[in-house]
Amino acid sequence: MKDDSALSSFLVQLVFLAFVSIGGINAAVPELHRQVVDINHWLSEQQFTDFFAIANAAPGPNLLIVTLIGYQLGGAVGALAATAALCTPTCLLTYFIAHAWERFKDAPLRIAIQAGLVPITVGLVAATAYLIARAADQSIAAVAISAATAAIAYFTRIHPLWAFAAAAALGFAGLV
Amino acid sequence: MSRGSAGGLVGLSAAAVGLLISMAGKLIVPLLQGRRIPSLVFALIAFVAVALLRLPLYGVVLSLAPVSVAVFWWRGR
Repeated sequence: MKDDSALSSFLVQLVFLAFVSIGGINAAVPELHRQVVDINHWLSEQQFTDFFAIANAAPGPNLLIVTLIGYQLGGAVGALAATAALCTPTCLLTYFIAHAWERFKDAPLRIAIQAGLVPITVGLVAATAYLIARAADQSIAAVAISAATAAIAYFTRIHPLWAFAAAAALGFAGLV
Repeated sequence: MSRGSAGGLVGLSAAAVGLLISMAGKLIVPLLQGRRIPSLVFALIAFVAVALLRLPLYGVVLSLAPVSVAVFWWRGR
């Protein structure tokens, strides 16, 4: 699909998204899903879940999901523009906040901001897990893979990429 | 897309869910040691608002974050 108006409105959303995604891209996934799948129907539920999976499995930052959606909407230009639209405000924000953050390391307000934002991040990341699980965990095998990956990533030092490789192999063999 | 690569993506999606669960777990464990109740309440509100009620992230974060920070500020003094 090539659709300039879809791409430009997606880009505008991305610029603002950076300011409310406390906890990074994984906190922003429910909003991306709402805009891209529920409201605008740019992607199907399946495509969105696939893009999310690819972005998580591929080496590099998980914001790749935004690059993939940009590619879907506007080819290579869309991919680049979407990545830039998401990263530029984030980078600027991080640059300015990092300075202040270090300077006020022991200030009570800074501690309160951090304590206040972490629970919201937890809720948002859990919301992302719930939304993706609803689409991805359709079989007992898929639920088992999710549980096993969660356990490996939480309890061991094994790199999650091994879990991804095993999960992809099982899926490729038609076992999921 | 071939059936094999579609199956591979299903497997990858399931693994990605697992990674998210472990991420949420790693974030939540330190919260259980400190000010447990407000932390869990705000995490739960964010989850319900975004995952179940499907409210826009902007409204949720811009209304919840100041309240949450204010609560921790008030309790931390």
